[in-house]
Amino acid sequence: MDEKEVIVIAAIAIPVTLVIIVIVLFSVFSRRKNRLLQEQERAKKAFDRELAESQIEIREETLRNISWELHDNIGQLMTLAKIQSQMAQERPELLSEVSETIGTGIDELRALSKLINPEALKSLSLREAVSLEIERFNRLKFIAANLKVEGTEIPIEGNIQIIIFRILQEFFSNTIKHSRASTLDVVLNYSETFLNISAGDNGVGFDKSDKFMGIGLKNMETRAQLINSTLKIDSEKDKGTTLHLQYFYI
Amino acid sequence: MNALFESLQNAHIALYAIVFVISVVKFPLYKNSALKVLPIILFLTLFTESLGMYIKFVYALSNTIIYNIYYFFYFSLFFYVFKEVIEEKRFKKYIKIGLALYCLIYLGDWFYTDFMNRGFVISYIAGATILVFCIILYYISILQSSLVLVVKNDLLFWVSVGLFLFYIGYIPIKIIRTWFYKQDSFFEILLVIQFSLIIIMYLFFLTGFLWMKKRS
Repeated sequence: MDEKEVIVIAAIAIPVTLVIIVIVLFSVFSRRKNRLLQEQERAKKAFDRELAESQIEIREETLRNISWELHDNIGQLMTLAKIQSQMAQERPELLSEVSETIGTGIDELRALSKLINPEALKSLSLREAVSLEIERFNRLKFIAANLKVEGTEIPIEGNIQIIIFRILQEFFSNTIKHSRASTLDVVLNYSETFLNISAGDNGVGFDKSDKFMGIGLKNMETRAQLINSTLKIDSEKDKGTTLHLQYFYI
Repeated sequence: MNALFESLQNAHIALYAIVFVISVVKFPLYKNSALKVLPIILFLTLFTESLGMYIKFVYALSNTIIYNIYYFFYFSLFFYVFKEVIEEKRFKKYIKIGLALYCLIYLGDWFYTDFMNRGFVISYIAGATILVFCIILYYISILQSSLVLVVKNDLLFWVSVGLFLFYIGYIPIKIIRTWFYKQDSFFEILLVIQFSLIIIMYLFFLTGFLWMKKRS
């Protein structure tokens, strides 16, 4: 092959190759971009779905709590007031006790009314929402619960806060219903880059191979992943269960 | 044909100057990133080309040594940019190895080539090939990240497309010019392609500077 043939071949091959490269380059980049956009869209839909489910579950849990409070707390106070008022018919000096019991009932009713007001719930921070749950557990004597806040509180975006709260609420609910624990310790540790939450009970624990528990855990893990968090639940038979959730602000 | 060469040569010097000025104007948008060395590269190119032409046409002397020195800084600075921008450690290591290899070959050229009268062809081809390799690594890293969504506004993307197209086209021309060169009109076709490649490359640079958005 002489130099003229080489030059002619190069003169044709170079522009053709460059055109092919440009087409391939831009089609690869646009396909990848479209795929990423689709993935983002799917992730957003999954997030919205989980958010909606979390909101519904929080509402259901709240209704269940109201039912418990009405039955176990306010209902009991009213029953006591009724008995005291019947006794007061014979012993009028007991009327002050009736008044005191009814007063406690009214206070409990006010607290409950404040707690279930949607506007009040929306304006709560994660710490305040968790704190109200802990206070409720202690008031109803479900469990000896304790909340500890470390570091300076950093506000968390509303939708993310709902999902974190729902994860914790599900854990608390499992603790009260199944763990037979006497204590529940919750720690919210705010650092500059992430929020570390740990919640541990001293209950009977569970075996991770338990299929029913596995589904619940999977659900919590999926929600944690959607908000860029890591969730770990450690449990051992008769040694309690601890939840570790780490949420990165960005 | 000579008129065409002259106009293409003037066009590319003018483009060097325009792109350099725009790179300085847009400098605040990328001064905090590794791309801050781009105006230096563009200025070096403009300065070397102007000085090279001046020495050649005014004093009728060989300007090869100027280019031999210039290409070392040119390739090294581009390797630095890609090494800094790419985040994957494995790719950074490959670029460091590429840079070391290039330095060795470049050093070898000083010993084995008549640096006053002959261009450092081997180290140039090595530098250009390693640069193409760096660009491929950069593309892989973009495709693996979400940066692909905003690539249109990424200065380095457009710069790398310009460089990629230029070197894919120019490496064969350089090889043919070095080992098959004969003074006849056929080579002029390749020179037209070479000048066109330079113009295309600088048009991509220009697009990058005009479309870019701030990058930290």
